[in-house]
Amino acid sequence: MQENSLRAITRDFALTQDDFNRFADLSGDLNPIHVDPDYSAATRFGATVSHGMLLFTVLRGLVHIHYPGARLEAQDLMFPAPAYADEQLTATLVPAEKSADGHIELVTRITRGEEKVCLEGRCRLVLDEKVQP
Amino acid sequence: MSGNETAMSEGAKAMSEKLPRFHALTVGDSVSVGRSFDQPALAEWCRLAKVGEAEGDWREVPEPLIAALFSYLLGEELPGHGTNYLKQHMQFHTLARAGESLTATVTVTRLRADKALVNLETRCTGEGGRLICSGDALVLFQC
Repeated sequence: MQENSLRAITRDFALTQDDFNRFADLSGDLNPIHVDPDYSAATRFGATVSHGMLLFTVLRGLVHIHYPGARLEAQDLMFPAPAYADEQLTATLVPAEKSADGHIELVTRITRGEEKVCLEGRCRLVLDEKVQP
Repeated sequence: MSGNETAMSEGAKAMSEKLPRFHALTVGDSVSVGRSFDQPALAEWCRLAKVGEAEGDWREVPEPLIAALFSYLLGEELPGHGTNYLKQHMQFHTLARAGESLTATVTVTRLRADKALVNLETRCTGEGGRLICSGDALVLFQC
């Protein structure tokens, strides 16, 4: 973990209710837990929560910025804790060793505060050798 | 009919009353949705991904929008409201083009009543039936 943390790529961000609404419109996923504050207040979450795939969206953006042109071959995702609007979130990519065939595996994570993990996963990229340094 | 009713154990009856919607599910149940994402939709995705429209320049459908078709189906249709998304695995075989007609399908593959868990196969195909994404999902459905 310590050895890897030297190479970890991180990005702090927050999502707003407007982001949830726009992702709902874009994806067609209008589940009230994401877009209806009154409905959500009565659920065990107590407030609207991000679409899991909106978290994946920010993560994919971060992958794109650091590995331009790379193709995402596989992705595993888990959503252990909810991500609320207007809270500070941190996206982290921890690269594993690059393999000889141009593939790379990353541990992917989005956390809220010190201990809440909102997205936990792993992906496999095929690097675009033309644009990688 | 009455024979079936008497054959149903008290335990199973109690469970059905406790999780009526879970027990209405059957392995093989399946739903699909059709959708396409045009260039303006991809630009909007880039803004949400915080990569910036110009920098993004996505000509193909980003994987999270494919994934969102599955989560839409799981949350809204099968099993539906009350679904708690636990796990998703996806393998991307080829890219979907902007404007391409996509069909996403989820199919129940396993039911574990003791834990209210549902396993589903997830698949997205494009025009001509070419396979874009395959995978599986695990959800909790205590309904």
